Amino acid sequence: MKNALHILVIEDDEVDQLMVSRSLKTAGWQAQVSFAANAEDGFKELSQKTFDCIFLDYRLPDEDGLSLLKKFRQMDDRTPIIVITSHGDENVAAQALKNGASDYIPKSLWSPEGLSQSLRSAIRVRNNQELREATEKALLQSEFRLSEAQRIGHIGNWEKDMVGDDMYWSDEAFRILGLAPQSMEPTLRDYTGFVHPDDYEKVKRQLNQAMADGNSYSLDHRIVLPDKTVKYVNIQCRPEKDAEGRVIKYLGVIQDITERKKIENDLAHAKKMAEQSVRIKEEFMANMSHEIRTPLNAIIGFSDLLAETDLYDRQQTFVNNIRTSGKSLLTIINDILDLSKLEAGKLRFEEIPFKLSQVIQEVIAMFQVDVDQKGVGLRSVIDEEIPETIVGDPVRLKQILMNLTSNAVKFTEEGLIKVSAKLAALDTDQLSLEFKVEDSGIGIPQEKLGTIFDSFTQANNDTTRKYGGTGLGLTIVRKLVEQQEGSIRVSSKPGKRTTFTFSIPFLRSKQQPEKELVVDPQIPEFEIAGTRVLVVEDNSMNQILAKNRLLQWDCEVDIAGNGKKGVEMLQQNAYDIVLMDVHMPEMDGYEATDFIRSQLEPPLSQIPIIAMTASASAKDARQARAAGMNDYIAKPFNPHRLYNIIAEHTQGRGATESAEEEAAPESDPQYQFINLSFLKDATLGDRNMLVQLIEAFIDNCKEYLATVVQGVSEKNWDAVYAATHKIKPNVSMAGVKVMEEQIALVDERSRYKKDLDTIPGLISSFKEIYGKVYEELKQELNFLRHEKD
Amino acid sequence: MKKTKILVAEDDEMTISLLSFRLRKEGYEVIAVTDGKAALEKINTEEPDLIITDIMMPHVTGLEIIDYVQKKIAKKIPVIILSGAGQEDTVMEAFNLGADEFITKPLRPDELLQKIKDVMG
Repeated sequence: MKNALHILVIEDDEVDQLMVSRSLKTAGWQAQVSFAANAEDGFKELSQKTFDCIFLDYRLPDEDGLSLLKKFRQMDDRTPIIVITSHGDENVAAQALKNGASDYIPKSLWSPEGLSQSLRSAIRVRNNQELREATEKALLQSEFRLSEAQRIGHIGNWEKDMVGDDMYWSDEAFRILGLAPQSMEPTLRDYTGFVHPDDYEKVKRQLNQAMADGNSYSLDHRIVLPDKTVKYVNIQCRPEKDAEGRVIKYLGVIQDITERKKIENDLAHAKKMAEQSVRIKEEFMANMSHEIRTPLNAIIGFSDLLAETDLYDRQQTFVNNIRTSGKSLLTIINDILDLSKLEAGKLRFEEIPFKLSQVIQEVIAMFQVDVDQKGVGLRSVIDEEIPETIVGDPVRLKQILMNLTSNAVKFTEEGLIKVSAKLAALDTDQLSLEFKVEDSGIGIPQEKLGTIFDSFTQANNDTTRKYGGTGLGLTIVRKLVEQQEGSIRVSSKPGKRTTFTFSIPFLRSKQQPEKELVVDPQIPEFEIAGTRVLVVEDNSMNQILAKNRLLQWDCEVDIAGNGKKGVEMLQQNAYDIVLMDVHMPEMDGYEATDFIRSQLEPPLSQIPIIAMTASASAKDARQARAAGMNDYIAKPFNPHRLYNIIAEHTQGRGATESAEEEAAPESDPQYQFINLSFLKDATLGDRNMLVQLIEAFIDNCKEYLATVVQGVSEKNWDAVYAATHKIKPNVSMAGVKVMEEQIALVDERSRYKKDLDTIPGLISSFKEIYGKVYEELKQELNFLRHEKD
Repeated sequence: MKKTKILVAEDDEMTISLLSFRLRKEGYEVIAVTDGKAALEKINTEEPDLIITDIMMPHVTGLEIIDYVQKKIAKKIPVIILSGAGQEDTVMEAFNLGADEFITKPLRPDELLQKIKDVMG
């Protein structure tokens, strides 16, 4: 024992006091012993000092030991107390132990060994108790911290063992679920009862999966609290496994993520709104462009016509002013639309073969009158090493050159404007051209050169006032160049000259340019007088414009106000060509074309149809082609292009017609109904494949008949349409012309729900023909299978 | 060189048989599925280089496939759509969603093969 024990002896008998201290010494304890002769002194001692053990005589002069013991314990004093009793005090001893004494020693049985043993055990018990208390305190504190952390983070934890349905939920888990902590003994069923009905399946699936594969998971779902509030929670679950890998328990957390979800939803909503507003803006731009361009086209078109009538000089000037203003307004609108498309990255560049010299010549020709009037020279120089035909986007190149040349013409009062093209690089597939547009005009101040390509910037505000323009031209030019992976720069000496230099990569051509891409030959090669033209167009202004223009060329013109009317008139009168607006009420241009191509008999079904589209985009062209139209022209139409298109499609017709007839014979000579030439060609002589396809066709026809017969009996026209639309290409592939016609009618009528009473008749006749078709197909299959063996 | 992998989604048996046959002849690797849902799965598991899809299909339509490829797949996969005649509106929608080419049924194999070459550059 290193440290001396502090012992208090509360005892009135001095002999007994001595006996205690002697016994301690005899037993080898190093102890500092304090004495109190009565209860009051003992109480005083204890409140002033700390002792390791107290020896308390039961019989004291002022108070009995038991009540003193009770007092000590009430003070929360835990010092071990050994009670010294007299003979016959067994009852007292029992009372003392009950009230917290560590031990008792009857005076009659006093011995140093006995005292020593009692003391040792009392101290050990006290030490153990202190240790336990400290541990409990630490545990309580860490539990408190954990629980605070859970409360702050809105994260609860839970456990579920593999036996029974019972679970453990932490206080915060209760709170997240809207319950008072530990207010019930939770089960798994209690938890699933909280799950939002719409998420129930998801949660159940995840639980089952975790049971099956024993993997951890994390899942977000909604819960409904007792007060009907809906919250989002995230559940994390980890299985605990035994040595053999069997799941013995699931441990997990539940986190309230309502706030986070709310923010996520807000963000998603904001994103959707932003996207929507962008889309609305784009749609608005597209609509506006249409709404503005339509009347503007009428203004320009009518002033064109008016200018060609007999007018007084002053009237002529007025008309010219209307035309010029209309055209510049159109330019501005086109500029704005181009720019918005370019900025949205929506402009697609074509890759088609064209002749560079032609593009440049057209640009020069366009400004010839202006420069002649000003007395300024305009010249073009093309490097001879540039291949005649290159591949790229001629329309956009022309737009760039026109923009730059138009600027040059605007700002040059004397001298020369030069447009040149030089070969900058050439390899096997690609080439790069460097273009220059130079003028001897007013020039651009040095400090403005850096911003000249920015939107709405001109050299100075006076420029705008004096020369007009939107200030968008050069921005568009730069974007057009850069989006084709080119670059542009400008240099200038104010009062002397300005040079714009840009280079664009092109592809080398392996073929001659296609006919349609040659931009507007100036002189019509064919005479179109007497051509009978049907114009299908709903806008009355456009009707009159087209009619007047065509009458000028001595064409015969009829007008139909919509697609349906157009189809009717086509069947009643003879025409050479149809000009078809694509957007019309009742039946639009695509539908009308589809009808003409699929429903009418040749030669009517083969009449050239020219689409009149709102813009000249490649998409419009593709769409027109897809609908079976021969060509397209953008409104407002350039008279030359219109003339040429009519000439081309009415005069070149005979040749293509006969060529087509040769290519596609009406029927297989072998069979009356089927024509397998398409399938035979397509399968490249592979008999197995051909057999497989014929079998598929037979199956499809059977399935089709079953579906439509049921659809008709239930008057479910959408089902009839869906099945018919699906079988249509099959019938074409099998080359069954008669069936094709019936299918097309069923398709059309079930789609638009018209003449529905004719459908059962069409289907039963389809069925009848199919019987014969089937015979022929079987014959062919026999032949093919026989051949195989 | 690795074969170009084409995912073909088309619910018409005749069309898909012919299509797969011609594409394989041409040396392409073909994964053929007959419904849109299967197509979405294969897009993820097979990582095709090109997708040819019908518009009207059970479960998931061609338009939804295009939309999925645009939004969920990091790699740019070109999409060619197969459409019936008279579906121009849907074709436009498909282009707006990001389709690269379209071809109308009945299928003309030579035209399709040319378009594949165009699209694959």
